[in-house]
Amino acid sequence: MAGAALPKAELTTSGRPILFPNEIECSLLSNVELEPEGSPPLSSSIHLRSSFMILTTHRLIFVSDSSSAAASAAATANAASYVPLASVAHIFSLKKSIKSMFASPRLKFQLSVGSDGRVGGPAARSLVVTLVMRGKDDVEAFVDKFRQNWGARAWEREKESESASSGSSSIVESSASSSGYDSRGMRMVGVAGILRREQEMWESTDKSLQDAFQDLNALMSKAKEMVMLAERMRSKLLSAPSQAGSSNDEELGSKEEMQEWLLSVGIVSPVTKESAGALYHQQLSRQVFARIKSLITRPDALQMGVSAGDAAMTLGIAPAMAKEHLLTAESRGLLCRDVSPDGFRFYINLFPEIPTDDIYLVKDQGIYATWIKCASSTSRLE
Amino acid sequence: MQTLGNFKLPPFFNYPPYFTLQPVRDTREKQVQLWKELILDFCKTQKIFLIGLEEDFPLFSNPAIERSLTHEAREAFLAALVSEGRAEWLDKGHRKCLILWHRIQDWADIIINFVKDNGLEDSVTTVEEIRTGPESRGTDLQGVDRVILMRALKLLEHKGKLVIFKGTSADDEGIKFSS
Repeated sequence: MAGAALPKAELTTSGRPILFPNEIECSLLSNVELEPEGSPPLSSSIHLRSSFMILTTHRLIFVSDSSSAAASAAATANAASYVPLASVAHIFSLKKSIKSMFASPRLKFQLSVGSDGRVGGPAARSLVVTLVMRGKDDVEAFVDKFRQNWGARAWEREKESESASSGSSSIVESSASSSGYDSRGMRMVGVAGILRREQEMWESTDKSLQDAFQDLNALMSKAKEMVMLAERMRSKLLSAPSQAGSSNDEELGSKEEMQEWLLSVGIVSPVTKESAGALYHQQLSRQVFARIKSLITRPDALQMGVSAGDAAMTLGIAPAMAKEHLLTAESRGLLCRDVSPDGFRFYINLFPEIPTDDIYLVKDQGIYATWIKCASSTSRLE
Repeated sequence: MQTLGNFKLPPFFNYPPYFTLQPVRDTREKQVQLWKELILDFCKTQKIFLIGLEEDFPLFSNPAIERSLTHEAREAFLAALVSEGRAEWLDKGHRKCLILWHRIQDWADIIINFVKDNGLEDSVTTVEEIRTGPESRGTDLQGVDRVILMRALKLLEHKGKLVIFKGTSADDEGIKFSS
């Protein structure tokens, strides 16, 4: 009764299994035995030896050839039977132990059988069988694939898609001919088709990712160049003598230009205030401060102040840069801030010129005097 | 020139940054100094002895330029006065500030002069008399804050210049000046 409970698998003349429609071969293990439950084995149990076992999306196919001294009940030269994955009720874990390191790997699984002992028909009970893998194959990869295929339940999806798309041509298979094959002769219908399309999609995504990374690498190397350039400039600036008068004007001029150019491209301060001290104040003050000062002493700016946005427009730089400059000028006492619900504005700093001994005193000259004239020219003061 | 009541405001009162607490140290120092002076001047001419931070103190806003001092700024300027001994916090929460546009010692000197000018040596009077009586008219003592006056009187008592005693009415003390 040993192998008779399993359905027979059809073979080609060369001994290869004939696959069902949409069935795909996945793994092949050599020398696999199906061991029955219990010892001595139950009479209803299944026992067979095979030359090789093929795992497909739908079945476990056991093929034996008559040349091996196999206890095969079949009389034909090559015999095969199969376990439908649909009849597998449970797959146990691959047992690992010290003992199993030297022995052939064994995988237990539970099989549903009918009341007549047949597999593949309606199920009445289950029995446990063990796969003994005596060949030198990658057992773990097989077990993973076995679980995967069993979980994928390809046979069920086909039934659904068959019933759903009977009659109407499926939208999914738009590129396939009615035979179900695309121009390359690859199966494009059903689960196989879906799987294949997914694979292609992944491959093309992978390719475009690769391309993107090429661009990114190019960008990174440019960025590295820029950083190196900035570093060289920075060290050049830092190596400048701290006294203005001691170096020749030409060199100072070019350093000034470098500073300004660096600032204008947004490298805020390669020479920090702390490290450069006099150099920072001198170099930066000259050009930028002169421009800020002229901006902030215009009649409208005297009265209304200047925002970072205003300064950005006038100086022709980004607002963030403008704000930096304004804050720096503030820290140096050139400007002071006005914070109100209207926003954040800067004014020329009048505080140094306002006398403390007589708070009503106004001198004839100076920016304070100018400011008062401007302020009183509007209707705000009586 | 702008005024606040009858008080003449300085030109920089219309300078918007004056109403924003300045972060830069040197600028802040100057700003604080100007506010201290202005507060003391204003309080002296208006005879204001108490500033409530959460109240609308007219000096702290300038509607002409639409600016007001924040609570933080008010506290900063008043705290500067307190450090100098020209003001005192009356509560832990720094909500009320006693303004000493004359220091207590100065008030004591004013009282001594008052006694001299009015020939009040060796005589008896009341606290209320000192601050609201006819002799006080036209002097700084007129309408002086009771708390401040009591502090000055206590200082003088400590120096032996006068004696404070419970008067006939429940809420007025009597003062006997020494000769």
